[in-house]
This record gives sequence, C-alpha cells and structure tokens, in this order.
Amino acid sequence: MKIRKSKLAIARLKQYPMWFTIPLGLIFVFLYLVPTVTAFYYSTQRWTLFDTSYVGLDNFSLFFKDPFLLGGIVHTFIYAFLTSGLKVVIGMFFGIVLMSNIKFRSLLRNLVFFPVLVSTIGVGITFQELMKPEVGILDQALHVFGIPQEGLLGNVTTAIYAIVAVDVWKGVGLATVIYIAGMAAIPQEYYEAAKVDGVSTWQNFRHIILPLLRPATNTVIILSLIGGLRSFDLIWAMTGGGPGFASDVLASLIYKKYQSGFYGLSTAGNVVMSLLILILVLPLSRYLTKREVEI
Amino acid sequence: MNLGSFKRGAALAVAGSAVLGLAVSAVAPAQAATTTITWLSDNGPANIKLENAVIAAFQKANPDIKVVLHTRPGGAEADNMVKTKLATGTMEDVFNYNSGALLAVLNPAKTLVDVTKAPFEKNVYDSFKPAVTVNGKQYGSPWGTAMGGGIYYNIPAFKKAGITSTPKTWEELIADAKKLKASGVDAICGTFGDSWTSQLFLLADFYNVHAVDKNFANDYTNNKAKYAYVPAALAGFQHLEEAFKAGLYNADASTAKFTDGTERVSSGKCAMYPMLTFATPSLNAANLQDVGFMAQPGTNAKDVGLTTWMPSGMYVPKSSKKQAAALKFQAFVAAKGGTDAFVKGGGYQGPFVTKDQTAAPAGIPRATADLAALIKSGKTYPALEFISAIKGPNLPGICVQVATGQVTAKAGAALYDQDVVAQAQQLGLKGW
Repeated sequence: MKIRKSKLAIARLKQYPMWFTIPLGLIFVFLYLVPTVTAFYYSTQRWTLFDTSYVGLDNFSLFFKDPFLLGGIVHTFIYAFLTSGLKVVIGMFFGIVLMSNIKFRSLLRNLVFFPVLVSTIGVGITFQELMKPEVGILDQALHVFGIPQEGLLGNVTTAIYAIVAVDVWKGVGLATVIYIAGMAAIPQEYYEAAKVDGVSTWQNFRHIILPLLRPATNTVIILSLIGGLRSFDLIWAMTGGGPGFASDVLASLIYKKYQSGFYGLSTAGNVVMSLLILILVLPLSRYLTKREVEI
Repeated sequence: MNLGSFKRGAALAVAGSAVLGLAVSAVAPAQAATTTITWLSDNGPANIKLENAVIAAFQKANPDIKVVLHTRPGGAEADNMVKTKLATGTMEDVFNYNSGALLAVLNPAKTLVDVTKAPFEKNVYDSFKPAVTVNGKQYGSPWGTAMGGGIYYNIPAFKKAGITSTPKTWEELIADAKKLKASGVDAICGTFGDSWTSQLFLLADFYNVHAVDKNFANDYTNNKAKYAYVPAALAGFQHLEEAFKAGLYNADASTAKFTDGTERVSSGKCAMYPMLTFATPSLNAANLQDVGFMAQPGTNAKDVGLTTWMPSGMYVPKSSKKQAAALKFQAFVAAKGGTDAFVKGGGYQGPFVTKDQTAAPAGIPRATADLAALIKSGKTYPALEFISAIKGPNLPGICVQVATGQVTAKAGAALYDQDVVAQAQQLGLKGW
C-alpha cells in the first residue's frame, strides 16, 4: 500500500515532463539571458554599431564622470519614491471607496482605470498642452495659485513634480485595481466580528483593513517603485529631460547617450541602472514580504 | 543546415538571379528593363513635395530607372535609423543625410560608396567638399541649398522701436533688444521646449570666433583649445547668459517650441529669433516680406559675416545592389536638371553649392534674399561642425541651462568641454 502511494506521488510529479518547459526555457534563454549577457559584453566595448573595440571599464568610468549623472539619480529617486508613495495612498483610498456601497460604483471604477489604458506618450503630449503657459487650461487654473509665468514644465523646480503628478494620475488606476482585489480577499467575518465588538470606522481601517491589505500594498510598492526607477516615456514626452537637465532621470540620460551613438557607453549605463534597481528592490521586496500576515 | 551552407545557398541564389538578369537584358536590348531604386529621405510635407518633383525630373531624364521614395522622421530619430540601416546592410539604394560631423559617425569608409572621382564633383563648389569628406575621400553630392545661421528679425517691430539698421556688433544688438522690449514686444524668442533651437547664439557665432582665432577649430579638434578659456569661443555662451540676465527672452522661453518661434517672429510678437535659415518655409506665408535675416554680429562692426551651414549630402551605401542606377541619381541632384527640379518643387532656400546653379525664382521670401546677399558678399565661414568632427551631444541641454540662468556661461562652457570627450573617444581621435 505504502509503496503504491509513493509511486502515485512520483507519477503525479511526473505529470508534466521536463520537455514541457523547453518552449518557455528557449524564450527565456533567447529573449532574456542572451541579451543580458551581451549587454555585459558590450558595456566593455567602444561600439559604433559598425565595429567594436575593447576598452575595459572605460565606459563605466566615463558614465560615472557624467556631470549630469548626480542630478539624474536624485531626480530618479524623487520620481520613484514620490510616485510610489502617492500611488499607495491614493490607490488605497480609491480602492476602499470603490469597494463600499456607493452610487455609480462600476462607472467610477472604470473612470479611475481608464488612464491606464491610454498610451503614455499620448498622455504626455496632452498634458504638455494642458500645462502650456497662458493657453493651457491647467496652467490658467493654476495661475490663481501664483504659478510662475513660464508654466509648470518650464520651471526648473516644478518640472519634475508636474510629471510625477501626471504619472500618478495615469498609474493610480492599476494600484486601485490591486487594492480592490485585496479588499475583496478580506473575509467578511472580520468586519462582522469587529462590528459585534463595536469598533469605530477608524479602528476598522487601522486594525483590519490596513494589515490585511499589506500584500496588495507590497505589490503596489514594488511595481510602482520599479516602474518609477526606470521611468522614461512620460518624462521624454513631456519635457525631454528639460529645461536643460532639470527633469532628467537615469533612463533619459542613458537614452540620450544611445541617441548620440555612444552604444557601448549607454549599455554600460543600462548595466549600472539595472544593478541599482536590483540592489534597491531585492532587499525591499524581501523585507516587505516578511511583514505580510496570513489571512 | 548549418550557417555556412545557408550562406552558400544564398550566394548561389544571388548568383543565379544575376545570371538570369544578364540573360534577360541580352535577349531584349531594345526594350530597356527598368531598374527600381529606393530613396530614403525626410518625411515633412514640404520635403515630400520637393522629393517628388526631383523624382519626376529624374525619371524623365532616365526612363529606364524608377525611384521609389521611402521617408523617415528627422532629428535624432533619423540618426538612429540611418545608423541601424547601414550597420545591418538594409539601407535604401540612395539616401540623403547630414554632411559634416554627423557623417563621420556613419563610418563611411566601410558603408558608403567613394565618389571622390565621380564626374559630378567638377560641378560642385570646393567649399562644400570638406563637409562630405572623411579621411580624404568624398562620399556625397550636395542635396539642397546652403544655409546660414543667424537671426530672423521682424521688420515692422524694428521700425516701431525706432531701429533703422540691423546691429553691427553684439553690444548694439543688446541695446536694440532693450529698445524692442521697451516697445512692448518680446525682444528675443527663446524656444527651448525644442532644446536644439537653443544652440544658435553659440553655433552661429563661429564666423566671429574664427575672425579672432584662426586656429580654434584645429586646436579644438586636437584637444588643445577649450570653450571655457578661449574668450572668443566663450562669447557664444555669454550671449545666452546676457540675454537671460537682461530679461530679453519671452516669459515662456523654456517651454515654447520651434513652431512658436517661427510664428511669433512672423507676427511680430517676438522681434528676433536666432535660427538656421532652413526655417524660412515655416514662417507665416502672409508675413514673408516682414521677416528679414541677419548674420549674428560679433565685436568688430567692420567685419560682420555669416556662419554657414552646408547642404546635406546624397549618399549611396555599399550594400546597394543597384549602385549604377543609384549613383546616377546621386549625380543628378548635383546637376542643373536636379537643382531645377528642386526649385520647381519649392525648395529654393538660398544659393546652391553647384557651379551651373539654378537662379533664384521670382518672389522669394525677404529672408531668403537676405541670405543670398550675405553669401554673395563672401564674408562667410562654415559652422564648426563642418570643420571639426567633434560636437558634444549635450550641447542643447547645456545651452538651455545657460539661457535659463541655471548655470553661468563659464560653467556651461566647462560642462560642454567635458561633454565632447565621449564623442572624441568614440571617434577614436588622437590626443583625447
């Protein structure tokens, strides 16, 4: 009897033979592994697309000597942490509100999610027009609050924050959906038990919803942080990193190097950026998962 | 099948079709087989009109060749596309692209057909040749007309401010700009939303740099002269700074775009717009006689000259399988027939760089006439990018920083000196 059972277990294990994994394995090897390894190779080359020559770590030293790198890193961090934080707060708020019994709930859910579906470049160009000095509606509205004449995107200090705001507007729908799913996963019994105990709305939120939403929060944090750290398209569409270099982030600095034909140098920059993201996100992800509680 | 045998197979197929092609032409010599070549060019609506006019004229002169136009976007996107196509051997049979510093980056010795000894070169001005020459070999025929870098100015706005003649020195220009500002218009149009437009005060100052320091271009290429400490070169950055400090730019300079600039200098909202003359077709059609063009003045009122930009080049890639037909097309655009068609297509923006050139058509815009007069005066010198292979990619951003007061002129110049290092190293120049 015993032997039979273990045979069955083995059979179950063997239900999916190894060769089932080959198609996916091939995709992984050719689309992920090979490019990654080649990227490391080309980061040590001076590469003109026509020919390459080995330069050791020169590309990296040149990349780190870039006078705009420090500003780029600071902007990247501002951008990533701010968008991530705002998406958590606003996304959670929307998630909770849109789970409650309110009128037009599904319409509102759709409205919140809608910007996620629009092309980022399209959003960028639209907001660029809305924020255009003197003629843009948004700019005219903000004039009431004494926004400087050159407009939000033309001002060196506000440019990056203006893009952050648009990024949050565009991305918060996804965070909301994750929170709605998280809310739906909280068993009704907890609320009922709390009701019997006579807890306040605040206590309900603080001690039931917040801890039990932690998996959703972690997902939102990790996703939006990674997204923010390598963000590029929206910034490129709205300011191109300008005025000057006032809203340049790591990705746009690297893109400019690629655009100028410094293929080896920009590859080195990409290697640095991916290592940086890895160093930041891996421990954070581990830390956050540790704090999750079982439902 | 391994890769080697695959290659052999492909080679056989190519050889086979070549034999077949020969056979066909041998059998029917009377009815000339048409060769179809492809041409990669700019996608602007005005460009396409022009390109089609040139194609029509070429096909009329060469009934056995058909040209199919492929278009591409401009700017940095064009750079990427052209480089990628050349590197992968998928470039069209003929294409036009920048001359000057950008050409060297294409690695022409490996990718382009050498036309140093082509007959059409006899018709091309020597002043153009260095712009399409890399390591002593010429690769292109001229496509388009010569351009100038300088300042568009609105004539009614100047009159209203009581200014009767264009400034002869930079100091006069600033004084005039202050008068213009006082008369209620934006004195100088900054359109840094398109950051490349910010470079003009610097790049168009090169005639003045050269007038003072004849060796600058050479020393600069050899890593012996720097913008930060050669006063004549630093002046360009200082111009950007000075205009900012005196509040001469429009309030929305940091987000306004190129089209805002051409619009405003046409309407008179802005009095001056530093720009390349390729912008003339973008001026408002109704105001074409209101907008003049002047060279950027320097320190010497007796020596006001124009910094010129060479036309683009027309090149044939080595990867083309129809080089004979493509070379015919390349030669055609540098001959009278080609320039005639160019003018017919509405492309006249200044003199051509060919000897038997087509005359200016009647009713050309005021700015184009001004440009032609400046070039005719002989006081011209090519922009630095046609003499030196070094042009740092971050110059637009740095110019914006200086022109919006984020860094000083001196600091901006130093940043730029640092920026060109990567370019020089990438090109493998000696001494960097």
